[in-house]
Amino acid sequence: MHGTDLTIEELQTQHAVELPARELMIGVSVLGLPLVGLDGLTANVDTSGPNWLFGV
Amino acid sequence: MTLVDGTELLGPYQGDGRAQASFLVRRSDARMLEVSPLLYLVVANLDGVSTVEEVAGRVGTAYGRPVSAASVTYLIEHKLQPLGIVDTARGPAPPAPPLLALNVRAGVVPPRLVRFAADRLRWLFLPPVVVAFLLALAGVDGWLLARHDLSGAVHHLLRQPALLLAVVALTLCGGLFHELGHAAASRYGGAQPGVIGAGIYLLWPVFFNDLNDSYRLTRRARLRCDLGGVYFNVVFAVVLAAAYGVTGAPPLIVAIAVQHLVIAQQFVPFVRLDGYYIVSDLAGVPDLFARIRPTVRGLLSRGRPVPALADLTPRARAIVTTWVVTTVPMLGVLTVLLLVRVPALLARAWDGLSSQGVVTLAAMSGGDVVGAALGLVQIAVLAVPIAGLVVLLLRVLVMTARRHRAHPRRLARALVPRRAPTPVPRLQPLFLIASAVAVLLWTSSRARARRRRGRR
Repeated sequence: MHGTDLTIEELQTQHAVELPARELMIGVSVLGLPLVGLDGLTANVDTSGPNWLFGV
Repeated sequence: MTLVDGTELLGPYQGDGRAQASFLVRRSDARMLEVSPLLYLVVANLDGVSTVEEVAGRVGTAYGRPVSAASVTYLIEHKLQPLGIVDTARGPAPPAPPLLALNVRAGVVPPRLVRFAADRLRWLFLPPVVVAFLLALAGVDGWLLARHDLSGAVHHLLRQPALLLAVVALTLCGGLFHELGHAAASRYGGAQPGVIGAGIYLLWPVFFNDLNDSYRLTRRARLRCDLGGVYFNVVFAVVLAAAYGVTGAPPLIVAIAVQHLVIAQQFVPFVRLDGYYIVSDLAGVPDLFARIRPTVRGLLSRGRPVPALADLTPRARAIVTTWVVTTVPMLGVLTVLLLVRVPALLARAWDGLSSQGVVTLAAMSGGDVVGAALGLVQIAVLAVPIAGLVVLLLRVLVMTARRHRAHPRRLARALVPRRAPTPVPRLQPLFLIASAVAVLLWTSSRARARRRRGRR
């Protein structure tokens, strides 16, 4: 084995990180889409639902 | 010195975007850690029996370079102990969850049941089966477009609101099936999927599947996991089309259309939907959001090397840079638009919840089960994004407070310039807060005015 001990810079650059949680998601706000049509059915039903998110 | 019970060494992180190889260690709480080769050697040699000198000797031999006991002690104290994998008297400080991560959550399907179902659906990832389903979907789409009127089906649905509940139920089933697709792909590759649950991501209600164990897979297998969800949406749509062929029920056509929208939505790469993980795995960089700041700094420094990106391969750096230059403006615009619309959204949601409450109570007292169920669905659909918005704003406040508690002098300097004040940078936080308040007041007054006009 040859060479010298690791320098402090070499020790500091050793990476060690906690990986982010790998949680694969599916948004179900698209559920609001069929509810859009309720607007034509009754004036009392609010149609914003989550669809304003698409506007955002 | 020994490792915490349950710590597991998993070998190299495959398809890594770093120029220097990384290795995976699974902590006792099932979270994955990515460490350098030298740190991995140290972890592998901590057997609880050897002295630090003996560990240093073995690590040096394997590393091909002398490593002193002092260096090993430094690595343990500064790199490994903070991650919570070395037995010490004090545990690691729990890290704050990132802002753009899933936080409000609850398990729906336990891991054992997820694995049981995933095992039985693995065959769907055999290449000929995948090709068959993709071709089948293309055929179904052509058939529907050529022979069926989607808007007619929607209108039919609207005349019979009870059928809407069927579409909602089918979409929920499709969401769970999507998550099962991720789980089945994970099992097909050889990893263990975890719980399937429900939660709120930013403002949206979501289903999720815990795929932490799939970090151990090859890049190709991880990509299969990423795409497994939308592939199961394809399978679901084909099954719905077959059911429509038998029954002719119009809600099924609408449900097939919704599956297409779900698939399109999942490919959005700016937040942690499937598209984000696809980009992440193509680059071999597990946390793209952590790379935003160094990338922007690098772009602004006109080519000067930035250490946090210099460790990536040229390919990974190109993918990360492309993702950052598209994501940052997009998230910025969305945040501003959201901020501008918050008062109007809250006002509309409140109106909606009030009217839905009246309609639902009337339906309940009149014995109209379908009307009451639809009302409850609408109330949930309205309430969940509002709850998500409130949680998001609270988290921003808590994170800001924590950061300033950790650096009180920085806050004091920012708010109260004591000597030789340079107004522009030091008043930045005040300027931002004042701007946000002004925008909120302005938009809320506009929303109030619109509502007054609407009432007249």
